[in-house]
Amino acid sequence: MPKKPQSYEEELAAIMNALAESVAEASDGEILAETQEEGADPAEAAEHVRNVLLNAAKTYRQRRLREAQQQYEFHIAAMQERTYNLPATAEERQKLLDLVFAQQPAMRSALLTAQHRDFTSLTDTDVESCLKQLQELGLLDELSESEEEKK
Amino acid sequence: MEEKLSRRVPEEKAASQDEIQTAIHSLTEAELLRLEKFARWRIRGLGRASGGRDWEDLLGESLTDTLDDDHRRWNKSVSFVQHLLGAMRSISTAWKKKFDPDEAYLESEVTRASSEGEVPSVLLEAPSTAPDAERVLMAKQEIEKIERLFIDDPLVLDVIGGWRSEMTGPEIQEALGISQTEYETAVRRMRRRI
Repeated sequence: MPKKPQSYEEELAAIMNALAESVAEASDGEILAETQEEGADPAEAAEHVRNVLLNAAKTYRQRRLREAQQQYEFHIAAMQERTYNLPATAEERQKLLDLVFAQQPAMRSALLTAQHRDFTSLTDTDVESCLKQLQELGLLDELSESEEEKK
Repeated sequence: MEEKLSRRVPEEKAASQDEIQTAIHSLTEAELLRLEKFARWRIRGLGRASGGRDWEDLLGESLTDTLDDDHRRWNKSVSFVQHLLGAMRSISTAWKKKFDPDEAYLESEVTRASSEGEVPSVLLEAPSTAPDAERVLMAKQEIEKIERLFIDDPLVLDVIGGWRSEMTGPEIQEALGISQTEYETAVRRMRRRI
């Protein structure tokens, strides 16, 4: 048999990988029989493997949620630190928001929750938050540009 | 280099996360046990390159990679089991390539309790890095141990010899002049004893 120089570690890996491939090709009956010969209950052992997969899926989803949460918190923190160029009084801020919603009605439903859609129960904090988000989106800049053009 | 993970799977053939979840629930007993056994052999093949990971880590990573749209999507034109087997091959190969042989041993890898319950730490007596020769010796001893199990089974020893020489199954069958059935029966004997 041809024998080329090889390390013992590589040879051991070759043996184990060949056994892995033999498992990949074995019949279902052989797999179940070998599990029984090892003294394990196939049904119980199989459920354990399924749980390994389900737990991995759960951990993955939780990690993605945590990442999304961190990203959201980072964004909020950045918004709080940023300086916004908003009107000085509550009345002026309300007027500006009225103007935006008049020009872009779709933004009303996007920004306001159902309970606020009638626009009557918005506090100044709500108005300010909406304006900040609109500024983040660059919509206030667009608005002032179009107002300039009208003049 | 790890197999390129971003190989694009056509969108219409790529499984959604719901389909993956359904596929996990649909796996049969034999399929689940096949995944476990395959993962166990691949981990044994890694030796120290496993870095303390076990078969559950390997199987788990094959799934989390599959769930990640940017990583290793499941092309539904192959079975879910075949996909996971392929992912495990690729991941374990990547672990091996990334393994630094000069990496220090974890204390848990070298600490063994004696029969009296004492836990002598090798770290107290040995340098913090493992010499290359020690790993090679461990592999050599493991091979010798396996071969001793089949001292009365020359066919199995020949098959092991073929694998050690990087021969494929058909090459071994041809060299030994045996049928595929004889080869597979010998391999089955090995799986049951090693």
